[in-house]
Amino acid sequence: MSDPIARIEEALAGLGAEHEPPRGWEARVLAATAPPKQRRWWVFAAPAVALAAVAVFVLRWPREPGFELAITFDRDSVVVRGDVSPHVGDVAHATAIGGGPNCAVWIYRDDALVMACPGGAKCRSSSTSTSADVTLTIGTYWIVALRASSPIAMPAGKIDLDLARAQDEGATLARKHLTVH
Amino acid sequence: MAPENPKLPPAGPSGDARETPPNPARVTDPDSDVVGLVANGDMTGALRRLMERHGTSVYRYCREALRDATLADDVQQQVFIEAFRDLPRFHQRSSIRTWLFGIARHRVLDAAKSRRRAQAHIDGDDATGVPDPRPAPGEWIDGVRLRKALVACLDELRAQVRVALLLRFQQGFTFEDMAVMCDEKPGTLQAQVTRALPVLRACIENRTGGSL
Repeated sequence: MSDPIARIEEALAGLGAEHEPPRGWEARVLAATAPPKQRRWWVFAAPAVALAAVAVFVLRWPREPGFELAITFDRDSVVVRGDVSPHVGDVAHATAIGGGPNCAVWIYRDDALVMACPGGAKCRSSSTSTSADVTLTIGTYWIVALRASSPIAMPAGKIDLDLARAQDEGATLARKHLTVH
Repeated sequence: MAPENPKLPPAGPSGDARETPPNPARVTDPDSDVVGLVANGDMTGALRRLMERHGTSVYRYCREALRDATLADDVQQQVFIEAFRDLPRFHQRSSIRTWLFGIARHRVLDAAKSRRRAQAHIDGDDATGVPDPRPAPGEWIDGVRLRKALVACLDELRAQVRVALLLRFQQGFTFEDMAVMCDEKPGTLQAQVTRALPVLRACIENRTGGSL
């Protein structure tokens, strides 16, 4: 008969010999240790491309250009902008912006035409604007910017008639009123 | 560089303040090819090889230490996942197998502690609850009866002692290897195991009513 302690040691050595790890355990370990799947680049790129497309659409979509009349004043050789009271002797720079090729600036004092641009000596025109400079004297001024899809006929000289005719011919108007004391 | 698993004994490179003599495991470790795979960056290859070579023995160790198939399955997987994580920090101050069972020992003890807290269910093949047909007094205990009683008696031991017995006899580790795993002196572990064997004998004979 063998040593009892040796029998116990032998039995301990054989413990669990009938057990096998459950099927698939290796796959589960490999899955748990696998690096996280990297998303394909286009998963991130797609939203960026969509945003870029929207931005291009918003920024580049052809829009009707804005049309406005801006006026600044030269007073003692200093340019004055904003909402100011013009004085006698100030030079008013009236600019029609965004009017396209058929654009005009007409200046009336006490309802009578004092300058019409283009065509006057103190007119400046570019592809984006038309400007008129006028030295102010006492009176009430109307400065009118016009644009149209076809060339605008020269004004006759009376504000009511000129503007009515221009509107009849399809011109768009922007105007400002000045009172010079 | 991050340290090796903090729960494991230090296994730092040479130059460590706690320098130890060169370990023959570095030269003779049959798993040295695993270290080579890690060095080449093939972590998955290294893990596959570890699982192929040690998966079954780690499972059996966990199974007998915990007496719960489901828990043993979980713990076995944790061991290899942790090994995969820590392999780059393995410095060959022990064999890979010793290092791996060091991880297993910690995970088993953690699982046993958690189970005690949770009063978890112990699986059906637990022999502790199986009635043992008692032989006549003094009759020689056969192998089947011995095994059943042994399993029941192991369960009565402290988890640390049970684990030490399994590492020594089921897995065949030397006390020196176990000392690395357990962060104990080999003599302490040897004394622990030596004291446990007569306790087991008495328990088995008491349970079976026979004689070994």
